[in-house]
Amino acid sequence: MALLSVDELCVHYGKIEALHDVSLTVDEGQVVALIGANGAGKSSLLKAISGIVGVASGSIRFRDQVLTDCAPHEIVRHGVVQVPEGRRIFSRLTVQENLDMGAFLRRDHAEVRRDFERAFAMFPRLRERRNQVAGTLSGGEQQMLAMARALLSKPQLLLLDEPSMGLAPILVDLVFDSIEAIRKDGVTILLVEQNAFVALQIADIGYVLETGSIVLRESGPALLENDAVKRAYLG
Amino acid sequence: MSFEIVSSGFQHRQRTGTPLSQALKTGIVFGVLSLYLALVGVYLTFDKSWVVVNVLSMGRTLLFVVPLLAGVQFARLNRSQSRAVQLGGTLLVGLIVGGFTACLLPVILFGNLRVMFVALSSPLAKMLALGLTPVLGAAVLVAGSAAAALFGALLTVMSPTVRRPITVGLAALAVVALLQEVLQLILRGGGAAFSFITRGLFQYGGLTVRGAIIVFVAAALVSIVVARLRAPFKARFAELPPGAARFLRQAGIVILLAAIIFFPLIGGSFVAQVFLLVGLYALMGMGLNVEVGLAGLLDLGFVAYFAIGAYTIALLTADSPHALASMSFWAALPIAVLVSVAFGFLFGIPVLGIRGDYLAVATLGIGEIVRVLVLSDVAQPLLGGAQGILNIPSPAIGSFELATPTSLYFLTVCCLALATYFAFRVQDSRLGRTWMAMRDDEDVAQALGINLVKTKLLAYSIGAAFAGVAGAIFAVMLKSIFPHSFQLLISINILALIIVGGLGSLGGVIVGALVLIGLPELLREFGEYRFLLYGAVIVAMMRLKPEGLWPARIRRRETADA
Repeated sequence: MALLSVDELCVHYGKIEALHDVSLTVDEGQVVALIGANGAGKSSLLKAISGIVGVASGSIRFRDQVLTDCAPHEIVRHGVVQVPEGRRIFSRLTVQENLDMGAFLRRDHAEVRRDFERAFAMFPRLRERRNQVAGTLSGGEQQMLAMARALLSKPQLLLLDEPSMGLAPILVDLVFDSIEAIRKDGVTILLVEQNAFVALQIADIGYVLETGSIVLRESGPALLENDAVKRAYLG
Repeated sequence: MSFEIVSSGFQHRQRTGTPLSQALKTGIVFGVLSLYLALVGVYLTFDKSWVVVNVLSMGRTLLFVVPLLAGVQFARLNRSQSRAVQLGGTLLVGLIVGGFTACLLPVILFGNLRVMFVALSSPLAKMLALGLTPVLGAAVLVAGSAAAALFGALLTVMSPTVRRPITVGLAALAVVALLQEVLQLILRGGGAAFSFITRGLFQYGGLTVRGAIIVFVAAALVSIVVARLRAPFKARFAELPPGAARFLRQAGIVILLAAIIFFPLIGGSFVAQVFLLVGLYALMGMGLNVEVGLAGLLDLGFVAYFAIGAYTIALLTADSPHALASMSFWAALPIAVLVSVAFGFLFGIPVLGIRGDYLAVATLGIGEIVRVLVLSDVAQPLLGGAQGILNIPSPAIGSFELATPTSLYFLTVCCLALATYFAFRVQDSRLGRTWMAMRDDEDVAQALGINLVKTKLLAYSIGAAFAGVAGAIFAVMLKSIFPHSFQLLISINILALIIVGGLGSLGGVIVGALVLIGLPELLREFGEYRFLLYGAVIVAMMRLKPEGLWPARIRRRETADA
């Protein structure tokens, strides 16, 4: 059974239709990439799943729960955690305090400590900068902090919104290496990316979104070879 | 998008021109400043107070302080120039400033601009001419300005060991002269020991010549002694084991705090009244600091909770037809706090989905709605309308009534101490951390599982509680309350004091209240111009020290890392 299934989802901003009859499934342990141009509705889909924007019609199911009408903080409780686009960290808190906020809902303190160690092992830079104010980190470090913070909330499904945005190529590689590592830890990932090339390389399944609708669904490698995709997104 | 008060990245870089162009620029800037002070009437008002009685008025002093500052500014910009250039430039600066000011003389004597500028009167002409004939006076004014500029420049370039005693002496003289009324009041209250000092230094209206010399010399001597002892003292301090050093530092803070707290005891009832007001504003500052400093919710309607606390006490304790009960103050106080909390919660609901600048406007509306409602005819039978509620009894402990400003001041200090402790604990708690996360990024905080509705309403409610306590004491301080006591200006004042003190810092709230509420009260004799000063201080603060007088921990870390 699918971990996440989205059925005929419609999202409106006022009169503007952002998503139209979008259906998508994510199986446990997969990395699913969602690619598409600016304004295709990629971020809207993630926001709908994490409850930040309301749903006009359709349904979102995670395991056997319906998330469609849940408040954002309840959805996090179910294990669906989003890393918002644009390296959004708590800039006036320290690295440590940022990570503490990630574990905000958890009561299993011993487990949290172990996850801290795992996060620091994955991103050693963050251990060095533990007591530094997060706003003074470099761009790449901030993206890592945002991802580490999401991991500390012990997600079952991680929603990543444009993790490569605004990063130097070498940092993009680093970020995607850590996405692979997170997947190996057993976290399922739904990834939204404009950088289709890197996204499809690690994706098991790729969806192509165009003006609010899904137009293609293939395995990652197949999409990389697809002529239409090549023309439109890989250049 | 949270409301942030930070210095912008914009760096005002001083463009270096030739010394001549800089002299012209400095002269014109300070000349215009001097014109401004004359036109709005500052010179005239200050002419009525004395630095030294019957010798030197404050207005005349100010007349020459402006060119002096111009000289300082010019000398600072041209430190590396040759002596001749510095001398010539400074003289030019002084002449320009003096010339600008002197220009007013013919304007007053031959023109008639009084329709626009009330201050352009013959007393001002007399003052500007320094009591001489207009022509001679103008000449002396210009020459005196040049001399003042030269003195300023000289101060700037001389060695610090000479400069410090002089500036400290002059500053002490200025402070004593500005606060002479209060100082005399305090010293009179102090009994025989102090009356000796009073007679030595003061006469009615200000310092005597002898007093001025004594103050200047004493302050200069103290400064010399301190400068001498500082280095050896610092060396000794550094050698102390860290435990002892920390103990000494903490003891110093405790002594300073105790001195401030017990100051009104020797200061008499006027000082107690001022400190009482400072305490009430500090209490409200603590509350608004929870909302703005920690949770990032810019609230411009904060005065509403202050009003609600005050009206609750009035309705529950007053001996008036509007009263609902006749409880004691102590029984009514917790109820007042609870009612404020309830309204904090209630008023929080409509503005839950509003952020940043929009929130400021929405809360502004809420504050005004409360004031207008209280004033309205509809609420008149319940709340007394514009006539307010009278006969609010003073709180009593046993048979001792807390009726004097001093006793109410100590009540405020106790409440403030409790409030500070509570604020201190809550800021490092899980809730405090949640507020700060929400302040930095609402969306992410939500994405991590924080319930924004609960967190925001808690911030509004807890913030309102502090204001409720302040309002309760305010009601028994005035013994009667009226809707017009709860103006928007109070909300703005509280916001200004927490920003000037240092957003998110508890020490900053107290310091901000002392500076922004205490000082203007002590400078009452300068009437409306204290608000001019107040505004100038706020602008200067934001330019020079945007992180506040007592920056919050995190801010200090930020500046240290940067």
